[in-house]
Amino acid sequence: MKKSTVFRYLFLAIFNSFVVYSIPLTITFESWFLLSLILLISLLVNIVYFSDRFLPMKWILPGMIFLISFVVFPAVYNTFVSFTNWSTGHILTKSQVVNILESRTFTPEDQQGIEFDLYVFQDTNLEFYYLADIDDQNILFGKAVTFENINDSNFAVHEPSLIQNGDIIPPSGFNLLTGKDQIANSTTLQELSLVIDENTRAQLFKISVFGASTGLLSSTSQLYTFDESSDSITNNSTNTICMAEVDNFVCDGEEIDPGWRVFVGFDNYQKLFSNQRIRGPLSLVTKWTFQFAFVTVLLAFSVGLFLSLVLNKENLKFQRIYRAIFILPYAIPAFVSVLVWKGLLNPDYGVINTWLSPLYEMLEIEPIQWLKTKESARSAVLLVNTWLGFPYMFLITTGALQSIPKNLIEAARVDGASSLQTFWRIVFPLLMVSISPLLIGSFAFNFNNFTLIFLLSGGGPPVIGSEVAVGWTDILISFSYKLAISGGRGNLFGLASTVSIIIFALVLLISAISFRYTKRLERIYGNI
Amino acid sequence: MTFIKNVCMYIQKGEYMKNNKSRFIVILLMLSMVAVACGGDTAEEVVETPEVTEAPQETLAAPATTAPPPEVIVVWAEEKVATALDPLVGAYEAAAGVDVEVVVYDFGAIRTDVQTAGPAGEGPDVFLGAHDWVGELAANGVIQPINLSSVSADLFEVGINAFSYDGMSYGFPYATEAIAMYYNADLTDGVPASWDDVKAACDAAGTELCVGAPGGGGGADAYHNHPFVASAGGYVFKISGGFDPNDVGLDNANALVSAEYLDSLVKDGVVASTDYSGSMSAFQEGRSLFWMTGPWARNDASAVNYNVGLIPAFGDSPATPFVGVRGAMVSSFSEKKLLAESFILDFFATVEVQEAMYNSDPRLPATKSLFAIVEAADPVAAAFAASASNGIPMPNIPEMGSVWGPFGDALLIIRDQAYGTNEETGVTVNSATDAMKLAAEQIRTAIAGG
Amino acid sequence: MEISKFNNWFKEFGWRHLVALIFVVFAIYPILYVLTNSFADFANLTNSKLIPDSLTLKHYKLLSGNPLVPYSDWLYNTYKISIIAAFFNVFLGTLAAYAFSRLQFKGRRASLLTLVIVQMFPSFLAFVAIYLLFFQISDVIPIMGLGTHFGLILVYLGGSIGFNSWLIKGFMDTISPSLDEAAKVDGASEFQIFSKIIAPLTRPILIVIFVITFIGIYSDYILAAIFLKDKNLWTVAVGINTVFVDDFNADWGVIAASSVIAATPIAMLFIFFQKQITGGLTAGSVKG
Repeated sequence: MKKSTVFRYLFLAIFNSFVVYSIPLTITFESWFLLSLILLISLLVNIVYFSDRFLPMKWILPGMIFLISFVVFPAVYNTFVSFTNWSTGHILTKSQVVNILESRTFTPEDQQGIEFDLYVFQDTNLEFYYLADIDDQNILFGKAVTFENINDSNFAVHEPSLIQNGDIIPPSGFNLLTGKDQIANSTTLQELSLVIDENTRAQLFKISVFGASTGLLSSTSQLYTFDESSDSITNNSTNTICMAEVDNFVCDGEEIDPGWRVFVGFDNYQKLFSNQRIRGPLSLVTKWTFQFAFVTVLLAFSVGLFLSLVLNKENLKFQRIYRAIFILPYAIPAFVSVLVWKGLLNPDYGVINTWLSPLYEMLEIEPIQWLKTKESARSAVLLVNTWLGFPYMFLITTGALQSIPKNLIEAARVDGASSLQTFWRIVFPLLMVSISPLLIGSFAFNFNNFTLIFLLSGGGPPVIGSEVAVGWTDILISFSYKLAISGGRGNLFGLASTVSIIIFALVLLISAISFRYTKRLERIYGNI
Repeated sequence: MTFIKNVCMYIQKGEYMKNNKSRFIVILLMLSMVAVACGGDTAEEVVETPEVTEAPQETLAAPATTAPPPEVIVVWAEEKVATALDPLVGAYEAAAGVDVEVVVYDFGAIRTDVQTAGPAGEGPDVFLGAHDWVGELAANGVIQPINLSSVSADLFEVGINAFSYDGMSYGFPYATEAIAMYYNADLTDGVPASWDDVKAACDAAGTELCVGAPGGGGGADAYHNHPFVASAGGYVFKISGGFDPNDVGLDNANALVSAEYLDSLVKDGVVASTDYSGSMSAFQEGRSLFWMTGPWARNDASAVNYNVGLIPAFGDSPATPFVGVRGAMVSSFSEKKLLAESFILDFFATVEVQEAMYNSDPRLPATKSLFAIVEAADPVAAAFAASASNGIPMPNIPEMGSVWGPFGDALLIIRDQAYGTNEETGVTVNSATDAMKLAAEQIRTAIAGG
Repeated sequence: MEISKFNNWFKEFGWRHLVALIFVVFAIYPILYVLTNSFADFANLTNSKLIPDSLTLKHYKLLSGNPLVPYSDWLYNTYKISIIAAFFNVFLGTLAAYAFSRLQFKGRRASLLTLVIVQMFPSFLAFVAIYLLFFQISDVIPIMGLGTHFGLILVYLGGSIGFNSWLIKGFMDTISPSLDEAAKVDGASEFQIFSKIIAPLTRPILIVIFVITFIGIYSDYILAAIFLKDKNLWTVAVGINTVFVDDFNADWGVIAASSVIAATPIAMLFIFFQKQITGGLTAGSVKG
């Protein structure tokens, strides 16, 4: 038996014991996301590594596990959200909402703001008793009971003897709890109340470790009671029944916050396509998004490739220094360098206008008001993004150039081709075979380059007189962000997720077309 | 150990390799054995875990010889507050017998993370946040009302109002802030009382720019420009009890007059077309006489010899900046709400803690007792407080999300004089009035659910 | 004579220097602002002046000796995480690339395409999803849960195959198959061919990808901020953003100083690595 086989089985044994170990845990913690992920991955691992049939998968799977966990899973989650009403006021599950509503108490108006010292005792059975020092006529003592036992409990009795000259005298067999003791028992105490009469109870609301704790009065009934059979809640302070309607309980036509998450099918998609107000700006934004992503890739790639060609020359002095400098823009955090660019672009004192001023004078034109007009803002965005993006292209092309066989180039030279001809006929096509997917990736990245737009122009300047607030440099992702946070009543995550699905569809379409083109390239120049 | 040896020997012999099926079975067997060997103990522990946590109740009958582990309060706080709290919580921990775990958080991230972590059962008990999150957080059901009555006498009205939503209090306010007017004390003696006199002051000082205020220069900023529209009767939302999302007053007669006045200030060169960083460098380099911004910028402003005054009045109406308030809130997913509330009211609200926080991050105090201490020692803080006392809290209702974009854009158009016509919609915006009307319309449609 | 000599030099080298210098100015001018502001008493990255009025070392001092700002820890964490994550990124990407380049199987192109396209999904809620997932991981497997460098590194491996693999595959394709056939005849296993022949020959592109991934992880803020809650475990990006950036104002002097401190080793590293990238391939190893 080969060593590698032993290794393989050992690995699988460890892996599977790990899986077996974690499955009961995920069930205990009700971690369903994780459980399904673990099951999926262990299934894949066992199938691939036990059998000899899936040789290529043996090489691909390690990376794929992470791809599934941290790229595919979020994408699936995102898709799932796009079919829900997830938005401000609807982020919880229905049972969470019922819990929150049922935990609310209310205080009848005439008792509001009555606040008093509350003392906690414990008897020998370690049961809790409260003493509420409301006023001289009401020094009430009794057993503290949980909400379920309120109706069975005796009313608290007036026991003035327990307070003498401001000192608390615990009845015999009872222990007065200090603030520290109360805090140690706070999770129990917060569920307890002292029943004063049929309608009123006293509850602890502030434990003080430096003085007396404080209590408040509230009604013996909770504010809302949920009735499962009729799927409604009753407001006990006003005695109204509030039915569950879609994603909220509704009392007298008024929705009660919070609501809950539900599936809404294709509602979000429909909303997006049927809304006239969004549709107008959407076409404008889509057009610019394409222009922006395309031109940005073109510029960054041209500059990067040009520079790597210029430096790809043996015995060129300072070559290393040049190269190190060219990757510097990549090494500075974007939020820092974009701000510097904002300063450079400042129309009044920025360096760019200072340098351009001879040109302005020569052409007798007004200085460009950078970032304040449509054209200048768009050019600025492209300029800054080229600066941010060319080092990446420079690095990639420098690396990829090394794979181009030198003897091919020499052969072309011998055949009398000029260096330009050699470049366009041999170097460039070969380069494109390995680089074009990255260009497509870069296109996709810039298609969604929220950070740059957000930092540099914020999407502005505003498009004057449009139906919704939108700017000339807004791209789809920044526009949908604006839509998502300004959705009438707060955030519309469902709608935003829908936009991202549509963006993905667009990207997919473009990629399909581009990859078709690269396939042709590969057929001609590649070795597939 | 012998078990593993046996397994290894078995593998080395390779006998099970004769056919695929038997190989698979053997491996499976081996695995489950290894799994039992490696995972068995821990799996059992898990099953036991619930018993362990419930154990204290059973042992209650017996005299408590071993103290139960202390309760833990998890607090999410921004860095500067956390720094101030760190040395102080020890005293409370000792007195209360709890562990206070202060997690340092990026301030903005708290808003989103409490809404994700809370419902998943992983959130904090207490967290710090801005008052304008309250509507969203309350509508989402992630914060718990708290009872401020025991401390309200010491709190400024504006702070209490800021954290009220739907008739309930949702946070203990600990700091407020509002913008005022910085001036270059080497070049002028103070801020004119009225905007009508600002131009003369700048002409006398001879600076290149007059008032630098964020919200121009291509960078929309409704927050800083609120006084320009809302000081003399304009408003974002009508205040009646709470903020009324159905009454938008950005295009009422008073707001339009104010906006036109801002337009004339811009045309006269009084209010420069600057964004935040532009207004900052202009003030630092002495190119502008005034800078309209908040107390956070004091360190940046100290590049020149500065002082602070009220924002000039609009006619008889004092300028009303937006007031931002920060406070401590209780998560509705906390299992220790009583403890969390007690922590805030009994510890966090004390003047010692408040003062330590002020020293670490000098925003305006929200408590009267601390303000009394600060006011005497720091005239600049007093100037900011005076400005805030004229202001109104930023609306805390979730509908505010629909306001920032259109409102900021309209003001940007006025500040940059970027009027024009939209060829696609045919809408013309040729004046401040047009800009404000359009913005108000966009806001109303968005709130109506369009 | 002299002139024609210069002309020749210019044709061969000079113009390259000229072009390079122009772009050096383009690349470096904005960075000079970051550099000078790191020494400015009142730093403001949008200053009209490149050289500030008063110079100071206070920002660097704040980052080197302040107990409240454990900057050296952050720097260490950042390097640790970036190096480990970038290494495994390259490793996993190379494994996958080997399969796509050297093994014949059906749907090869389609599966590679799928891997690449999946990476383009603009998940609006990716961070929420990852956050939720890691709550559960924290319960079940605490050593790779939230708050750990281990978990963060795992998330960074999500992008290890896809674009990287494509690039590496393209490079591998240019290595002559005769090499591995020869090795096979000598009895080398698939893994030996990979580790002894193909991977070393792919070195230039592997280093490029390492550098790119390293910088990407190095400057990541959002994921790291979700993960790391303990001040001593923060990365530089998280620490700087949490401590020195607020709603409106930010301590640009410190941020500039930190950017300089963080960027310098990257430039150094790159100077060091260049030979590996452009050193050329072993003669004869490339098919032609």
